[in-house]
Amino acid sequence: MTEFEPRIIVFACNWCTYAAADTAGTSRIQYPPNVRIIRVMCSGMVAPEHISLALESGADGILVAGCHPGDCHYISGNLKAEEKFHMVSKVVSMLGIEGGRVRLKWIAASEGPIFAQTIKDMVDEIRKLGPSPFRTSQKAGREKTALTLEDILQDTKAYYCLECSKCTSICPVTKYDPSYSPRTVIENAALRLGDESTRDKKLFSCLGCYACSLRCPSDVDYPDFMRKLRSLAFVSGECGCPAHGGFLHSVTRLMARSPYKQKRLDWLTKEYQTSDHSDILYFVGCIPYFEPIFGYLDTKALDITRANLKILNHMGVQPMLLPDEKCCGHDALWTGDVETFQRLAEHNTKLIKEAGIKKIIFTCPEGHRTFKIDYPEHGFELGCELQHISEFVAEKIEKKELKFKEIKRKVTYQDPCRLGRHLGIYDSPRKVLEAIPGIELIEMEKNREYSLCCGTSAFTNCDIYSHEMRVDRLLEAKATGAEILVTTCPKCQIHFKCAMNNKGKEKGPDINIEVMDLASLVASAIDS
Amino acid sequence: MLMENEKRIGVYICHCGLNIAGTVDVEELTKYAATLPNVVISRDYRYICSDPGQELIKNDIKELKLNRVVVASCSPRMHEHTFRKACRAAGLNPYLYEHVNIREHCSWVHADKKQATEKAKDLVRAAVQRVYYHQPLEIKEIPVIPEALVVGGGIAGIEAALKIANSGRKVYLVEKEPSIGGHMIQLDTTFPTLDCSECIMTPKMSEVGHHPNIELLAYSEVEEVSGSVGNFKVKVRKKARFVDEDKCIGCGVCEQKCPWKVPSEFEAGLGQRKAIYIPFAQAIPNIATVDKDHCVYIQSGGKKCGACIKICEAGAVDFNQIDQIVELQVGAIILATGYDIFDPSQILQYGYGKYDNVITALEFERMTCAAGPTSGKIQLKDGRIPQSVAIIHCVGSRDRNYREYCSKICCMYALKHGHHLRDRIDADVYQMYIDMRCTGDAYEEFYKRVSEEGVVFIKGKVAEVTDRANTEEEKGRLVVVAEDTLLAKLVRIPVDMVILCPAMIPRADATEIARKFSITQKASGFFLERHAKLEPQVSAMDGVFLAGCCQFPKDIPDSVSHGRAAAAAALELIDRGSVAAEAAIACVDETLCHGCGICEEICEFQAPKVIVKDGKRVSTVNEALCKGCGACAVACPSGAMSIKHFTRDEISTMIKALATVEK
Repeated sequence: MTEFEPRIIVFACNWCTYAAADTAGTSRIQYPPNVRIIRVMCSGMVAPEHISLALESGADGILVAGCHPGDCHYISGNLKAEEKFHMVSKVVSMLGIEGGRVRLKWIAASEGPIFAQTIKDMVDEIRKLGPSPFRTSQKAGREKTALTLEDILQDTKAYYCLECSKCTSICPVTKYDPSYSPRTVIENAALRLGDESTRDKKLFSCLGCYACSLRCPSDVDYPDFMRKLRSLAFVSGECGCPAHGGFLHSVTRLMARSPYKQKRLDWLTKEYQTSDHSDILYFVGCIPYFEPIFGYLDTKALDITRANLKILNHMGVQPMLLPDEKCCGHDALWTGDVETFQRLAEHNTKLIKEAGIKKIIFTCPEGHRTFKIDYPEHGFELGCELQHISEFVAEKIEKKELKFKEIKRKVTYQDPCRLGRHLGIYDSPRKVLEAIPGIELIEMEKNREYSLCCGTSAFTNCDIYSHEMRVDRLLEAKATGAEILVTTCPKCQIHFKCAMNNKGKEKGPDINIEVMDLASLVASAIDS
Repeated sequence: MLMENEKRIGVYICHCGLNIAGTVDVEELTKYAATLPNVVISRDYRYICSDPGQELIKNDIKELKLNRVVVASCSPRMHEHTFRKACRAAGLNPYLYEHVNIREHCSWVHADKKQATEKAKDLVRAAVQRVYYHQPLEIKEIPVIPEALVVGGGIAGIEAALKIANSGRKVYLVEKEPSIGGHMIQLDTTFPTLDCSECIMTPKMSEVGHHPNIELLAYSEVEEVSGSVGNFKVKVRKKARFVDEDKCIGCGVCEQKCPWKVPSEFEAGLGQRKAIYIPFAQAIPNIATVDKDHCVYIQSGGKKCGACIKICEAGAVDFNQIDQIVELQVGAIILATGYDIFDPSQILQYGYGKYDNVITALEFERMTCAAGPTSGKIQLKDGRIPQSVAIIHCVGSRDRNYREYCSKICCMYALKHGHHLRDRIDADVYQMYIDMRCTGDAYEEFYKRVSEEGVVFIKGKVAEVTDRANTEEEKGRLVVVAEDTLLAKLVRIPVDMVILCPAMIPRADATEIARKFSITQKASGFFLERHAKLEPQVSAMDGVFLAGCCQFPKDIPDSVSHGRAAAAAALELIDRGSVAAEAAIACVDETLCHGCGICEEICEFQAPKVIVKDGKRVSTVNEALCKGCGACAVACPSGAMSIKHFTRDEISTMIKALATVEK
């Protein structure tokens, strides 16, 4: 057997490290041929998704290399690179990937010998770590889906479409982007039955919010139709326009194919009680990953998980937390990456069954929906009770097992699409809010099944229309006179906070309002 | 017929003689390239950068209707430009070209032919896949402001300023000291010709002072630089001299009457000046300056002294003066900020600062100068004439504990000092050297001459200078302890005076200057040139050029040449009248942009700006300001911002091609 030869990708800044590699060459300093250099103009040009993509593609090691601090050709590009790199490092370490595989180093143009030595050291170390497990893993999207367009039209009852266009009239995307019409998407697909309907980037604009399907006279499941059409598109390489460079999708793909044990529970401190013997599972979901990725928005995503544990503990529940649970697969499924979804679903189902779980509590409506509807649909039966934390708390309130202290605040409530229209859970969150003394719930104009989506789904096609939708929704929230916009979905929170993250000198309308997860509000109302 | 979107790629593999072909199997590589998708032609050639090599590409572009070109040869820093030009000449947009580095990054650093060839194949495959996504980019010409700024009024800066001014272009010369002249004006004589430094320097300084095309901003410092090549905006702080430049006639009466004495910078601390002073007799501009840290009038808040105000007949002294900010607009900038001298007191064993008669070469220079504080008399601190002198070379130079590099000029001025010591006071002179480096015109001859004058050369690095005497002869004297490595013998040389030759080091504020001008420093701290051999006068920042010792230690002739080379480079830019703007810059997909302004906040060059367009906030990029660094594209949450030529598709395709190990 031939010896393992590590493959190392170097992202080298044109002005320093690329030149350092030139200097090594000019000086004929020998180093192992395992390295492949990608020239970038600045280390600050290296985006998180470049690093994750290199990992996905099977690189055994990755080096991001730029100018020493203070030497950047673009003043501070290297410092920006460092900041992003730290974020990526946190994610990489959470995924369980050895830190030695992903590195950052400053190498000046004159430091040819240092460049050569760095490569030698890295090759030596990675040789010890062994080949990246992602080398051999099946790449997403390579497998042909078993579905055909015709199947999809059948399955989702799209054939029944009367072309009445109720869907288009109600579609929030159409309201902001008139070039998008659910009706014509179905019509085109039905007429052409060809590849072309999967080539359109707009295919990824649908929010899957179910506003249309609830009104369709023919019972066409448009979001499902869209989702399945996307799976065809995905196979042919189309994936819409991923927000955040596609880093989140890439991390999900890595997670789905990773043999590593994750380190996702570092935030879990001793003040929270969990039990390895409980038959109640708290499915944390992707929140630990959101914490570093959306750190720049000050989302404090982990506050939600901590609040949830505080509530459960207060009610005498010491839930089990699975240190190696993976993403539920929602975003993968909704962007057409069925294979990744299936891997994740299989992993989670196995893990949950092995743990003997009888009930799962969610803080994320997407996880809830995916477990409840999509897992069984794809043959993954969990056989346990599923509950959103708002349902759990509402139940306790009803049984008078829970009392709150007074919080004098005016709030309004955002129904997340997955919790509301997908799962029909409208009342529980409201019951919980109304049970907290001092809380005054003022409904927005569009609420419950008429609620407006936060504007983006599955971190894809987050375009100008998504933003306008969010701005309008926030204006609506402000118009109620509420001080807090409460939601039950971590992603709604991210999206609203993103809309309010206004860094330019040109400010839009005032849309600033405190956004809070229901769990956090409940936790703060518990006397501990 | 050519399909509308058909990509027709030509791949050219360079042998570079045996530089590449010696390690990479170019034939196999060429055959491999031919099998890659969309490759229409794959050729190898001995020197593809040669004229016939370039012709080959140009012909293929025309005859085979190539619309994408890949060359695998040396570093793109060497020849990317060459091949882009060739593409352009054949009517192909230069941004439809991709360069592969299989020399510096492959054949020169790997010995195994098979592995090197495999690597080269990967690199070529990635380039072919990337070039597929290249788009033609529009190269815009930006007009160049036909004026230049020179920072630093030493000999290099003066030469540069004069050359540009003499060609009819306006120059601003900014000097932070009260007078131009730099280090050279402090020198007594220059090696190896021994001509008087002042005599050759002052006419140049005077020419600067009177030149109609030179605006001298002495006692001024650059505060801020913005803009880019051809259109720099520079803010200069003109420090308050507390003397009206228009009224002062440089008579020096104020200096005579001022009662407050301060060690003179010009005299290297050997002599004194006053709190109001003209640094030296031939100063340009010949205007008095108040040293506000030592002026008692200022320090007392106007309560004490004020002698200068009373004595000045011209009424030039003005304590109400404040710093002024002058804004300049120039097309090119030359940095000639010079060097500092290593502080030898760091090397405790040499006793500088501890023993009176251990002095630096620059102090000795002032001592030998007829206009200096001792009127040219070489003497010890107590006034005696030294009988014997040791000159220690490489103080802080060629020493990994301090500065690894050779400061280049010390051997020669040490010889000059040795000559003066023999010539003027007939002292015994010991040159304590590591290697004698006398590489210039007539330098070796000067070395021979000084040797023949009876100067003793001891090859050995001095271990210590001490006043602890072992023998009667050593008593009351300085003892230089070293090993004479040629005789393999420990020597103790009692002398009266020790002259140290300290390293030339980057200016203390070199890092700050580098940041202001967005240029880079080398490991040594000196400013990094674009190419060590071919462009030593060009910095990595377009439109910013380097002159003199700010780039690396130089002697006077080299500084002069470097200053002139920088002037030529600046003139080349100015006289061209326009400059091609960077085309690989940021662009906004307006359908994705939220107008959040993260790009506006993160950009160091104020290129992106959120505007309101059709009632919607959307980011725009000022193409003249964007440098294409990519920070905004990475920060953009929605993916609206991207960098042309480094798009998501282009980088991703390379990552996939290079990270994947084919099974």
